[in-house]
Amino acid sequence: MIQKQVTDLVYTVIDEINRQRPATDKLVKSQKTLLTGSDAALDSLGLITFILSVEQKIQEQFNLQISLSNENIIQSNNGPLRSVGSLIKYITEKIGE
Amino acid sequence: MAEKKTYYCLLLSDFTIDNLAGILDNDPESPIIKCTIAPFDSVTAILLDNHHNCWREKPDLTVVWTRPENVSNVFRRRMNFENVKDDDALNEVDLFTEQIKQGAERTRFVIVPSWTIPPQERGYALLEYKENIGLTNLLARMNLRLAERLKDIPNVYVIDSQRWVNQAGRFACNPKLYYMGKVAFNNDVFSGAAKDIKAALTGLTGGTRKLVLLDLDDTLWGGIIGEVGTDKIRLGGHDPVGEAFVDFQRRLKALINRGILLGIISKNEESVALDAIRNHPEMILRLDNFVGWRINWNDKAQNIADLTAELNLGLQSVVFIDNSNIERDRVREALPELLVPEWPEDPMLYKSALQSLTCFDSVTVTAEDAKRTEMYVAERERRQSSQSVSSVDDWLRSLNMVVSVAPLDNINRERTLQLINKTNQMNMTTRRLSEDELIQWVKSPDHHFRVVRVLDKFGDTGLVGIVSLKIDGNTANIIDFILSCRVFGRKVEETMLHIANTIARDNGASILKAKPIPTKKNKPCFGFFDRSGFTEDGSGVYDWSVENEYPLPDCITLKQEQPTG
Repeated sequence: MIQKQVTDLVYTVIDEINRQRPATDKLVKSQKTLLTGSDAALDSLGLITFILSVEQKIQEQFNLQISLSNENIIQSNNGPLRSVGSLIKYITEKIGE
Repeated sequence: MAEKKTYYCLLLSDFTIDNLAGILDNDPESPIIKCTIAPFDSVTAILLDNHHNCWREKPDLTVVWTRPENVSNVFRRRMNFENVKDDDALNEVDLFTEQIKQGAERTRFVIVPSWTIPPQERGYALLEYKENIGLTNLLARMNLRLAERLKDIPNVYVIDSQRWVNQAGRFACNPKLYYMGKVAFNNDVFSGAAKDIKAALTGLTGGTRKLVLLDLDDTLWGGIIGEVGTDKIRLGGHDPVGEAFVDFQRRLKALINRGILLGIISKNEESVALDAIRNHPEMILRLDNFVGWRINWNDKAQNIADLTAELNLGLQSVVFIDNSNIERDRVREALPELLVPEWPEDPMLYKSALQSLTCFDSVTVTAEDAKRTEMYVAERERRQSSQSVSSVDDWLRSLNMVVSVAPLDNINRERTLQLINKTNQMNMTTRRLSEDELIQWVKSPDHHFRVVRVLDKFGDTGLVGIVSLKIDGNTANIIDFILSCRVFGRKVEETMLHIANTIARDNGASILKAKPIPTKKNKPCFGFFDRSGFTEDGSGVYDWSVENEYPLPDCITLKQEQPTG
């Protein structure tokens, strides 16, 4: 249940981010979409905007402050921000704690 | 389908504004905007540098979006609760406005979002509106000073950005966004900004909607009048829904003061519906508030097309409001140029839905706007009077029309600009001009510019026509030939050619030329020139030999006016 809500939340932010991207370069609403690393779709400003929008939506929807924007998470190669799927998993676990 | 025009927009800001550029660049709806982002935090340097790369391709629109603490050091110190004087901050605003004035010379339009402070800033709380103490007080004064100093610069518009921040709520200015990316606002603020910037550009380029067509049952009142009868519809009274319908009607009536026309498109028995409009005690909108109606059982899309044609308006001028999503979909599909907004199911949200529409944004408000409905109602009476005479010529003669001609002056300039920038159908070249561009154009001794008013026995239709010429040796080229749809087909077109020919002759020209430029909307103009008596040479240029007087229609009395200011 929570995972479905988190997935919807992240996909809403993808929709929001896609409004700023050309039709040929939209982020795919898929668990496999990569967010960080050399093969990621987002540049640094795009990533910052994305994760802070996700933080905002979590706070609005779950009344929880989950920090995704700390250095450890951003710089981790295989951390929560590696892909949409890993991000959803991380947030779902955090909400469940 | 013709490619949509792209407008070039320069974004000048003291924070990272790429997200706004992204939204503007990738919105497929008209107007299409392509942004250039100026180098970060170089606002003053670029405004003052005439040769900066940013100005190389003259932008159609420049957005100058700054934060108050970067424009005013005094404001920054006030944020630190230092003891500083408001007047010193206002002097810094004056300096900034001088920079904007310089920048405004290199771009067609400038939009300056007003300054805001983040929602989390409490300042002095209780003392925030105290002069020389509060941040809020100072910010309000700075914004007013900004608007005051820029009010005489015709292509500069200060736009309210506080609304964007308010709508975005507590996350509008996320400090993390600023620390990590120098982004001063979140995406909700930028979305609000993009919406208003696009609406402003639509207004600036003549795309303001002019006519609202309204359904009746469950749109202007609650219930199906044909079933429940006039006395049982929900309208007013001690009923929240009834009150909401009355309030919605009030808001619609207020649009009339802005020059927006109202009409009715309803599937109903006409006699029953008109009886309610005339006699229901709580109706705010009465028949005189509507420029026309189609109340019958026919297809609404066909009714809209018919009524719009009768009013001589283009479909791109029309908004259609209907509570039924089936009717909305049908009209959208049949008439894609129409704006058919999604509409809330709850009547208590109708007024706010209307208030949030951006399609009525315009850049001028003239005295004639408030009279527009009156003029159209007079036109309806004219049409009715035409049914009592035997021929069109007899009818036109019965109107006792007087066409008065005047040069451009300070009094008629605003309405003239409105006509230039809003008229689509009878517009020979669809040349859009800013106020400054118009003033500069008229200054040339080879350029001749006249505006036309029409009066008749039913009233004054106001300033409805423009004809301008450029004399080039023995050739007089018609540059603008613009006529409001209010007076189409009443021989004012021919009168304007008579005026053009007289100007050409008085300035030594022997040939009068007109070269209409086709657009999606100005077919009526071509139709007129085809039957005008001018000779078309096969290349799209229409000629008239000036030595032959272009006849003044016998139903028209011509009157020359002098400039008034």
